[in-house]
Amino acid sequence: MPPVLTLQGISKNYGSIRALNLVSFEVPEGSVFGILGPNGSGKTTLLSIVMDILVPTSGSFRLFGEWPTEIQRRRIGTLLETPNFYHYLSGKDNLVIASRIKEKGFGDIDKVLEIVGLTQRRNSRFNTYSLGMKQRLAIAASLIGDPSVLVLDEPTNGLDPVGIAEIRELIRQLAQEGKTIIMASHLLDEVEKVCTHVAILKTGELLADGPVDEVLVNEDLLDIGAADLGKLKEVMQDYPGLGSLKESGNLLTAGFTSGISPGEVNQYCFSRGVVLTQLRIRKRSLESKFIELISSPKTR
Amino acid sequence: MTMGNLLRIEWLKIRKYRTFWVLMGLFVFAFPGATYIFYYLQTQIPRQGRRLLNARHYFQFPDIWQSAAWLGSFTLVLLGMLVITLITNEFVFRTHRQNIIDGWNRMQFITAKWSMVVIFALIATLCLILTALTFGLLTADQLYLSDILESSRMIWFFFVQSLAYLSVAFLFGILFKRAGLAIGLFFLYALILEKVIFVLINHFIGPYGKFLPLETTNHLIPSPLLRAIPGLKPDNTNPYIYFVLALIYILLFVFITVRQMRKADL
Repeated sequence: MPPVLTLQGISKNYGSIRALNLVSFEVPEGSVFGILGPNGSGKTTLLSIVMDILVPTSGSFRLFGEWPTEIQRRRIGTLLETPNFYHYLSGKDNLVIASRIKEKGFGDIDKVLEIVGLTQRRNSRFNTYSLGMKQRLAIAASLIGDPSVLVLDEPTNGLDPVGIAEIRELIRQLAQEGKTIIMASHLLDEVEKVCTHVAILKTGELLADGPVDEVLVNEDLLDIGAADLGKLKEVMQDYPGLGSLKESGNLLTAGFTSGISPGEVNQYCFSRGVVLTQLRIRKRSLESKFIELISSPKTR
Repeated sequence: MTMGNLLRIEWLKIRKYRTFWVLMGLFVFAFPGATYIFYYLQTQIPRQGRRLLNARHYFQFPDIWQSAAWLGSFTLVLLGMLVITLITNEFVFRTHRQNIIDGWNRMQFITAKWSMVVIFALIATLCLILTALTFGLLTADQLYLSDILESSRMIWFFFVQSLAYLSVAFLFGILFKRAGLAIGLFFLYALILEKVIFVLINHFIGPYGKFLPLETTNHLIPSPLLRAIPGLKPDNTNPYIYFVLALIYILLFVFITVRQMRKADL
């Protein structure tokens, strides 16, 4: 199976501003692929290029291993940035148009309206919808024809907490059905909760990409203390697999290159005549990892 | 996707759009209405005057073709506004992007929209045929098929005139993207700017102002009253020159809009 999406050196300039700079990555089939980055990092620009809304300055991409045309786009359910519908038509009439363009039957319309909870308001005009309902209609539109690939740009935008939970659950369900989901988000939490793969963008540069547990690896730290901190430091410096060692107050903070095992550290110190008075694993949050990633200069 | 499918989708977009029905309804009434008003006015002229002016013949075959086309052409402005509204709606609602995201290519989008413009021009032409036949048959003293057919080239001319006029409106819609702006600039161009350029060209270059886009379409179907004004030098240009030039303008506008849609960021 070819990758669902292959990007090859995509760049996009707006005048002198470089919105995307040589972005390349692959979205494997069946993955839930998060495109993570702060506002203005180029996520929407990237997805717009894939959808032929924007023309890349250079670079190319493939969909399902083929040169992209409207035929491939019809196999993808897409929600891009904001919900775009005819304001004077009802939610249902808008979906009829979308179905026609996708060359799918109308059988799905009632079903997708039910999934997003808009059945009751299906005959109301779009411009009477609340922001959350508009977003739900856009998600409904992307589900028409049961596409095997979904592209969702900030899918929980404008939704209340209940709505956010519902949509995340929906995405998880869709992923379980084996669909490939490409999701752009500036919320790390969102990506971490639902994604299997991630690409991190910052001001148009691809910082990292790959499976979530590799890119957003949890690097835990160990805080240790002893009566004689100097001796402890001396002993620990020889510890096999030590990554980093920092003094912080009356404690030492140790990082390890492979796995963390407080028991072994304790035994190691004891056998060398140092009794630990404190031993505590410190979880480094993904949040700080993400901020570190996007605030550091290019890492690759 | 077949042309039929493209048009069916365009129909789905407008069939529940009130502005469409209001403007189209106004046009369908205003078109014969324009001819009727002048028909009514000439019946109010006292008998001797009427005979002297021979006003009635304007409403008889074959002259009715030109009269109805010329009078009706003023109501094309309603369809022009409709065309601008429908194309700018796509930009304002950003549905031009959605249509492409959903599975049209850019050419299909522009083809669907142009087809709609052609259909509007056909509707206008149908209005001309019905109006001219109605007035012609009602006012006929004797009916000769040759009279009816004599000026029926006006049907073709009017179709091309409508299409050229609506193409200018379409171009403004594509270029300016906002209904108010596009309609405003369209009127500015149609009513003032082109007249100014017309005068400038005629003054500094020569008598070529009449070949500007809207002037061309105006000359395609000149006012039937011009012939009645004694001493006025008739325009000796072969009308088919205007006809061909109008077609060239239409193709040019199609080319510009297609190029715009194919290459631009949406």
